[in-house]
Amino acid sequence: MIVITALMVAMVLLSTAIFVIEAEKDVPTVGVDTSNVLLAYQQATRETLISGLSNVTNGGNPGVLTADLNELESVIVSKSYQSILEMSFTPLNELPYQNGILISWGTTGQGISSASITLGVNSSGTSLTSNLSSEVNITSEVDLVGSYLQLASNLTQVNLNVNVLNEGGPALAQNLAFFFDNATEGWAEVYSPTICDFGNGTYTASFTTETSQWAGPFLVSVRCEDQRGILIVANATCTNGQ
Amino acid sequence: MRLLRDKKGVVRVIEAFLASLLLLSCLALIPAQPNLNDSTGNLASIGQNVLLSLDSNGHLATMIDNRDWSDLQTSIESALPLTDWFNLTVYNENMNILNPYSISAGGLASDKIVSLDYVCASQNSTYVVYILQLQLSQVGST
Repeated sequence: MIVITALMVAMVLLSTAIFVIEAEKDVPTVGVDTSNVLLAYQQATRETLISGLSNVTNGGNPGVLTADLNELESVIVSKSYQSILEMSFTPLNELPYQNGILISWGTTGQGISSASITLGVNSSGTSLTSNLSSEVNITSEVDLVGSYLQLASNLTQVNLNVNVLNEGGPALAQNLAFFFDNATEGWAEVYSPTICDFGNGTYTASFTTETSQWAGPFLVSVRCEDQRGILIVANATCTNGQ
Repeated sequence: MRLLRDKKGVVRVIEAFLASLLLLSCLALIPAQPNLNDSTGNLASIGQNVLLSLDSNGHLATMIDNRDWSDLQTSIESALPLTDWFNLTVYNENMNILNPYSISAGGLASDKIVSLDYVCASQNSTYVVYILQLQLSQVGST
């Protein structure tokens, strides 16, 4: 009697197992790797900051950054089918940042264009819950150092050294334009300077001008657009190189 | 000694022993639950990594910005194993398909297809969000 009962229980167990295995074969699978997905969100946020910073430094409205981030959030959340997703973007509001943006185009030879936010992602799936909180920072920097040489009584040669940095590392420039403080016209663009690109984010530029064009101290400026389209300006006073 | 001589119930004990043997052998016969998501999960990870690496310097969005579909196809094709089949569809944020023709390579050799979505954003000052749907299949996956 007991053997018969055990046999029946065994059959029920086996048939249940076979049913479950067969049923799972028909379920369409969608690949998920949470860590990679979160990295992708981080990357998309970086791209959004670059786009926003590029827009703002080229004269756009600073509010564009928030609008872009909201747009990104709505797209990502609407495409999250496998988990309930909550995203938050908190712009850095500690000085010198304001609403996540810092534009410091100083007169001491250093220019910085930066955007910084804290990205928060909370993903709740059927079997896994993931949280991510990370700072996403985009910083483009240009450093300018200049010196001048009096070639003749009315002729001055200016030598400039420019370093371009992205997130603290060497980066290439897309466009470089140089200006000097003209006595009569204010900032005047230097046409056809001799630029040497060292390929590692370092550039040298030299040009000659008539000394009489200068208004007192030798003030120079560089307007740099990096490969990401972010504009950075730095102003410096040239030192006497003799 | 009296207890040892008492053979009553021995049959019951043997019966119970057989029953327990039957149940245990049944449980042993049930195959360990195969993890069906292993191969597909791996394939999805490969696809996600490919897109992530192409996107690392914004190249992915730049190729889409420039509507450079052939470069996009070549990039993904060279990053994926030769035995993989893929089909990529690029949507804008309104879910309109942007690629005018199919971006795919390889021969579909399996009926097990993994699909993954990837969101990337343009780095241009004109902000655009793209949604990429990558379908992958691998030779030998059943």
